[in-house]
Amino acid sequence: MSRRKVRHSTVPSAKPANVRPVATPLPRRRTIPRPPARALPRGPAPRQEAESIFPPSETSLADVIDNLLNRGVVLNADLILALADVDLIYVRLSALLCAADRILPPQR
Amino acid sequence: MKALYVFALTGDAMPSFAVDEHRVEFIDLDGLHAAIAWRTEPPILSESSLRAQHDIVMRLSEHLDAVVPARFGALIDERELRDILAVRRETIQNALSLVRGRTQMTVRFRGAPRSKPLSDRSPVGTVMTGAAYLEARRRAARTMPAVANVVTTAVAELAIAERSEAGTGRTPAALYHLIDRGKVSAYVDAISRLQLRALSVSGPWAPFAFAPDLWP
Repeated sequence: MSRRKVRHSTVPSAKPANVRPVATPLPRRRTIPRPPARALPRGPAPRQEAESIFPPSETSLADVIDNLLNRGVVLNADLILALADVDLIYVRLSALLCAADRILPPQR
Repeated sequence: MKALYVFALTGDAMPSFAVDEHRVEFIDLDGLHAAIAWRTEPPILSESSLRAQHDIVMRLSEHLDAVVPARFGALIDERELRDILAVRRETIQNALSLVRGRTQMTVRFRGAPRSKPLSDRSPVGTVMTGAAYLEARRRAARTMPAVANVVTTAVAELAIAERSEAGTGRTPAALYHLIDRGKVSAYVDAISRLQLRALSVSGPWAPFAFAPDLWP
């Protein structure tokens, strides 16, 4: 049974769409009824469509995130341990959340 | 009780200004200045708060020669800030000297670089520990694309400093260059001449990637 091949490519074809390669004619075969059409899973979007998905403002957001969060964020928290409504221990926590290799010197 | 929310350390001060609900002021720190806002708590991590802080730092960078951005969420008492500066003053002054009159350009490389192949066998006669294996995996996964060297060479005469971040598969690899503010066009032209489609250039930015760690 022949199977139609579906190509998903972001590379534009070098040949015009209406030009087919020359092939040796094959003997005629009995026609097989086609199966009912099914929804094929979508492949990767062509480049033009992908670029339209990410408008310039989104690119700007990527820059904002990269610029501000690339080196981590500082989280502040106040912790109060109390017993019978009496505050006993106060802990002020200032934590740096960051990928270790962003702040530690590279290992040689 | 209000504390200082630090946007950046600067070499000079400028008149206070407002962005959204933030009123940005300057305090003198014995020769250095800090661009701050008085707040009771740090901002919640959100797109709007990130954009607001980014806008403030960019405005500082437009009006001042030397700006060292602080980390997002840097809320601190004035006394603590002065204590930190007492310890880190030389580092911060060196950073301000480095970025003075300069700006940051960012080059991102589209597509995740292929990881280097990692042999699953240790050399004969040796045993690879789990930690060593994971370290080898980490080194193999974090690679800069080969085209990064081409970019580095192309802008070598313009770049005062360079920092690189290897891609991790989810995030693209990036190069950060510090250049003189008047050479942005020359920088873009130098990369455009390479005619590489697999990268994007953005900037000029405040020198986010060249800021030292203010909090030791």
